[in-house]
Amino acid sequence: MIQKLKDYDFTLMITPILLSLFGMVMIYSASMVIAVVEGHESTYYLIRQMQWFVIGLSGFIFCCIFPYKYYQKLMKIIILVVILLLVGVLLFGNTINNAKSWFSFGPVNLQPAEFAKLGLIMYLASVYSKKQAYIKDFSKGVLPPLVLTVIILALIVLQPDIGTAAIIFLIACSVIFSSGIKFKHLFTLVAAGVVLLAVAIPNMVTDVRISRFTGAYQPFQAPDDGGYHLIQSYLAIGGGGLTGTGLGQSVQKLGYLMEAHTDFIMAIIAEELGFLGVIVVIGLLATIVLRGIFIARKCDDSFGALLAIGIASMVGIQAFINLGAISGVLPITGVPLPFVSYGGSSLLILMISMGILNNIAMNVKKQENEPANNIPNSKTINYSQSGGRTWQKQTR
Amino acid sequence: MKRVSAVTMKKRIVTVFLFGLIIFLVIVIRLGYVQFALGDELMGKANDLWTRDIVFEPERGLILDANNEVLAENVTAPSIIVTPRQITNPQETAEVLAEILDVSVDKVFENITKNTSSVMIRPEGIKISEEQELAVRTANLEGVYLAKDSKRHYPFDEDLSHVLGFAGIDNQGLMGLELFYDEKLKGEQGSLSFYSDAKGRRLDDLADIYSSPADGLNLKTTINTKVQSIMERELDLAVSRYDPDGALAIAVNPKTGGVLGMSTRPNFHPENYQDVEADVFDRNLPIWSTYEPGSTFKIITLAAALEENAIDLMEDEYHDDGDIEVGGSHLHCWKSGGHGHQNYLEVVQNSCNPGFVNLGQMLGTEKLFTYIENFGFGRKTGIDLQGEGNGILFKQENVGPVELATTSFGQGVSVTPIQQVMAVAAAVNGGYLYEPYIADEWIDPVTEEVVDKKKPNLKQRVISSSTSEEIRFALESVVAEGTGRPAYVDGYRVGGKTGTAQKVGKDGRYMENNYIVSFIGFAPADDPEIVVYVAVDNPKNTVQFGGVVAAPIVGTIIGDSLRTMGVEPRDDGPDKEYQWPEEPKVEVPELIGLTKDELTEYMLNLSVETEGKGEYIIDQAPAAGTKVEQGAEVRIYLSENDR
Repeated sequence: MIQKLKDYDFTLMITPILLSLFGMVMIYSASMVIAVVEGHESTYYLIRQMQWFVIGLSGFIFCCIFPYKYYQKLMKIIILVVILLLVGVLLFGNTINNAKSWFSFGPVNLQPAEFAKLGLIMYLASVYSKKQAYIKDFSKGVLPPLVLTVIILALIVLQPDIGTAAIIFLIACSVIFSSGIKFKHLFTLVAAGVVLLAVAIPNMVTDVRISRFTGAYQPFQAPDDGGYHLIQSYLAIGGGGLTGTGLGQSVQKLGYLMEAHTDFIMAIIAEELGFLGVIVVIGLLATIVLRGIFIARKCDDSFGALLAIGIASMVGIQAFINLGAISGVLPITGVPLPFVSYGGSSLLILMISMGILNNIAMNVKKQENEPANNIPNSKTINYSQSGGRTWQKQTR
Repeated sequence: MKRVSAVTMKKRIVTVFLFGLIIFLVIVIRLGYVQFALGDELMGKANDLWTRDIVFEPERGLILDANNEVLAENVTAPSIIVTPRQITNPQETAEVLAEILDVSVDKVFENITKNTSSVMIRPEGIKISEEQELAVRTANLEGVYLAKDSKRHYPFDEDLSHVLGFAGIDNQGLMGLELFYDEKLKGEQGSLSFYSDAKGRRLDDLADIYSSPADGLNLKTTINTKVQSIMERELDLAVSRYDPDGALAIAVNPKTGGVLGMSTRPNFHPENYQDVEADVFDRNLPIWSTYEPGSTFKIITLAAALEENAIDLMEDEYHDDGDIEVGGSHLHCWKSGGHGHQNYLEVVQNSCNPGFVNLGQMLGTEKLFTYIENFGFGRKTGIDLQGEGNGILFKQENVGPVELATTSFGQGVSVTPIQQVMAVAAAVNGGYLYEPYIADEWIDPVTEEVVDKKKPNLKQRVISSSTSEEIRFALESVVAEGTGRPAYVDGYRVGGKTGTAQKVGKDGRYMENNYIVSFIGFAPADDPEIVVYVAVDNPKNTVQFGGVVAAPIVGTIIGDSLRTMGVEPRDDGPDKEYQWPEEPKVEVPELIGLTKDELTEYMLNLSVETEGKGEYIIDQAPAAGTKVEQGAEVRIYLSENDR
């Protein structure tokens, strides 16, 4: 049941850890002033991130060895927990930055939406792999799982956490697209999503959000309003040049750039380490994402493949939304940069996801290393766990 | 079916892979663009954001007179700067400061609780007095600082106030020279920029940038403080003696156009300009006011006639029977019955109106008006002060015989005092019309080098030097023998011309018994060093006649000024009509039957006391023909009805 670690994927093992460690250095650099201003020790945020990293690392190791196929069996429980958490946070949650997105246990803040991300990826991967047989059929194959997706999205939008909702929506699109549904159906879904958004947005629109949108596209027209964060971000990035001002030398982190250690950490990296630092970080992130997709491509098991795609998409989409925001391509929605930004729930989920991805990779490698005699074995597993019903239905 | 689906899935996954690759590329390109393409522009903005400037105010340039006497300087007067963040008990601090500065507690409280790094309490907390400074120091309040600051000080108090103007609370020029030359006087602010965080705290590991303030240049003017003081003194005397509506005096160097002195009544103290009405400091009368010049304008007519060789002063004669018919209407001479038979020198000496009408007619409209315009009337002289008037001339196409005639003796045109001064200066200096100016040199306050020196601006040659010489001769004889005798200065050859101008009231008609009396004089007549013009608006308790009121003032100003300027006394000039010390007695003229208006140009050096009210003189004492001492009192009795 517990897989051996000898087939571990080196890239997927080392890259997230490198990114997280680098993230902690930058979090310390970006947050020490903020921490002191807020009345803590300068290492306040660093230590908390380190603690979360240790927890995340445990999750990572556990998920490396825990066979991913069991998630399919635990699906009902996972979904139930996710929905309970999301409903619970709406009822009992803590409001930070105008969004009721957090459970606070003393100093520890948990963000259920982060868990919902992974939960939904598992769910979609599971259902669509089971429905592979009639994936081309809209009403039978495509539609039913979407009911739960919409419910989860709605719960997150209610917090409101538009950023996470958008990420989940895009991850879902990515997984559904990869599952092989007809383009016609995909377009229908996207159109439906857009209509839903069009209905939802007028109710969701607040001045703050409008100003964030206008701020993204005309930051210098409204420097004191919505454009403030983006201008500060531009100033940080522009100040870095090719090689940056040097580690710890950022000026923008000294109160100009809000959330320097969370959503805008890449701006500080750009300022202190320059474009080269940015390239390295983006390179590492791209490595994880592309490696994840590569594994999905290799994985013969459709659940594993869709799970890998979902996880890779999650990292990629979050990185895109975060970097898009700090470089003024997208509106600022408060999405952290994967692995690098300060944030416990996010890091924990990412590390767990990396563990799962590693586990899928190990499975893929095992397939390759033990070609002939093990195929029946793996087929048996497939047959009994996921492929079973599919097979039965097919043979009928 | 499953296989097909799996193949589709692999294809889709490759698509996602490519899509992901593109996304990362787009982001890298965008970040590179922000970092490099926007970089420089952004750095400028970021620098502005990061740096905090401590401003170092430059020292405002001094204003000096021609002999380096200080006319405007700076004296220390600290300002209060409050750092709200450092104040622990705003209410208490506000109360203490309000007490010291004599402002409401609310105002101070509101200021010192503002959410900024530093505030000032405007305007009470700026440039505070010594007592207030001491009180603030004694109170020793947390977060309250005294910043070195200075305010403008004018050592000569009210003297030259309209010309100097004044500077405001931020040392910005608001009026006069202070305004006109504010750019050069104010200098450049310096600053100490240090990097700081968003809360304004200083970042020590980034180097400070210091740019030193550049002090304003010192302005050396053409003003001669001694001449100015004499003018101020004489105007003060005139004000106390005549209680006029206003008065003004100008002294100009005719050889350059440089202004030696300029004064206005009512005046004000530049350091307390708020104490007077804006009309008082707004109106620098010598350049602002426009009015009919009266007889002083005859100099222009005379200059035109002489330059055009229309007459010979000595040879040609004119018979004045007290009346001249122009275009069907009769213009009277100010002396009823006329001056009789005179040569043109006597016409000038007597300021005979019909004689000048005759000159104007000889010249014709076109020529006379060309001369008037050439002498600078109808347009600004270009003096380096704000608020100069244009004056008003008849439009040539509207000039009929009557307009030509009245213009010839200074009625129906409207001019500014400075225009008259510059025109007369041109008439007597050999024919050179200069632009008047006050700012002479700009001096670097540190090296004391002259950075910029004004060259006299010759606008135009208006008459020949021989014509100019004739005018000097004619005007000298006006002072020696004619209407200008009270301006005579022993030892200096003074030339000049009286003027008595009626004022136009609000209804557009001439006002009754309300004249601007003036005299324009110059000396020495052989080589003029100074042209002085004095006008007194509606003097009371006197005959409103330029020869009586203004001429002696000009005489005193010229005499005293030339002595302080070190101009050699002359002894080759024409003598006054009598010989010193045997002062001849004056024969009291027949005044009964004259109107009061006629009297204004008649009385020479007798002082007049009036009794009763009205236009007509019905009696006089002493009687006509009585010989009296010069300056003796003649009492006249007035009535509404003629005899």
